[in-house]
Amino acid sequence: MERSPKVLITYSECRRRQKVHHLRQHEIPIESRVSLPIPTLRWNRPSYAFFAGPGHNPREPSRGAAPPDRWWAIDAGTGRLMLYALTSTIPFPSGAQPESVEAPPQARSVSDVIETVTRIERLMDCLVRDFFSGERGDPEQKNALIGELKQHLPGPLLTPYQVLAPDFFAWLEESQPLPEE
Amino acid sequence: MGFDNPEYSETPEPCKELFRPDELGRTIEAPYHVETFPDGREVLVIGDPERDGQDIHIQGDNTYGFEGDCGLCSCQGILNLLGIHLSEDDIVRYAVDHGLCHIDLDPRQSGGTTLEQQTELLNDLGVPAHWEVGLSMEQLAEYVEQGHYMIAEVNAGVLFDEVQGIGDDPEQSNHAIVITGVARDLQTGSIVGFYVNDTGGFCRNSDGSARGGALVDAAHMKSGWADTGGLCVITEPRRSG
Repeated sequence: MERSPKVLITYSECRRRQKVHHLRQHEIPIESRVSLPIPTLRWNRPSYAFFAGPGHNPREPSRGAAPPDRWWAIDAGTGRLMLYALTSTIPFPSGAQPESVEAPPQARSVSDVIETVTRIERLMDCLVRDFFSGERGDPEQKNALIGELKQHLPGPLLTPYQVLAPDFFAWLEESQPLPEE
Repeated sequence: MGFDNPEYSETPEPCKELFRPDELGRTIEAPYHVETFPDGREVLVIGDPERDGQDIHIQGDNTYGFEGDCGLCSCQGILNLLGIHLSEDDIVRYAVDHGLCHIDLDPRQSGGTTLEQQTELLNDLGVPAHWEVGLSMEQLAEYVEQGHYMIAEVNAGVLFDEVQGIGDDPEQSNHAIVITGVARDLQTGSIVGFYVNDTGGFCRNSDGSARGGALVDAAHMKSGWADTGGLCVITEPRRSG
């Protein structure tokens, strides 16, 4: 494991940069459904992983999320691209390609969604440094983040994130209280 | 330079103490007129969104079965507005033949384009274009006022207030639309909204057909376009003669 760099790009900064990243300009179709960044150490250095797949279809708006057709990772220390792969040539790192999923009905409004993602970003900004540096992290914040992620990405929508960054989700789950007897 | 439609070549009625086009500090090359909204607000409409919104359709009307081709349909829309008449099928075929769109195993998921591909396609077909990122609302309005047509890359769910169209990240663009006009408040000069042509089915007439020239208010343009990175393909302005 490489030592974590002293200065890491925050989650919010990584998300902000991705909006205009050269991948978005040259490689990833505008129509794609692009994931939120997800922190991981699976490549032995702090990084943010992403994935994307074909997005909203106006003729079948409720069809759900297509399986990812690409995934990539940004070095959290330098901000530089670490890897970029099409799933047709290099599958998800687990080898298990997530399948197309039905999007659960949305009872939330657009502003609810934006607020939820804002809370996710804030919690990530608080937690990722601890995760990258091997600290335990604040259990309350970790529980809150799990709750927000499950609310924003219900059911199978969260699966590709868990497949791509299992270490981060394992770290989050460490703080989960034991079920009451 | 300018538009050749005499209907819109006249200066709007002078409105002392109201916002005037010359207060922008630049010449407006696009047509413009004053309009009163149903709520009584008077606005300066720059561009001709009604005329430019007449000939649009819902994307997916091509023999390849591509349905994720809003960028290609936006290119087609601009080409048609500039007198280069092509069908959706024509533009999809050109993109397929020249490697200018995404092709998935499932044709319904195919037809997506990057900023670079949209720009290259327009250039190839005779309309000089470039792309920019990080544009502001005022910069977008300025391009409209100078007579440019533009493809704005937006988050459809946020822009059109449709939760199913947001995707995972509301600040990532996932849809392409054509900008045909801007409305400015006649009292203050502030941007009221932008007129858009959408082929994605978010703006429809009562019979289900695509409705062109829809006004998207400034707040939704900010959250659905500017906050997603302000990505835009800009064509050279239409010239008279």
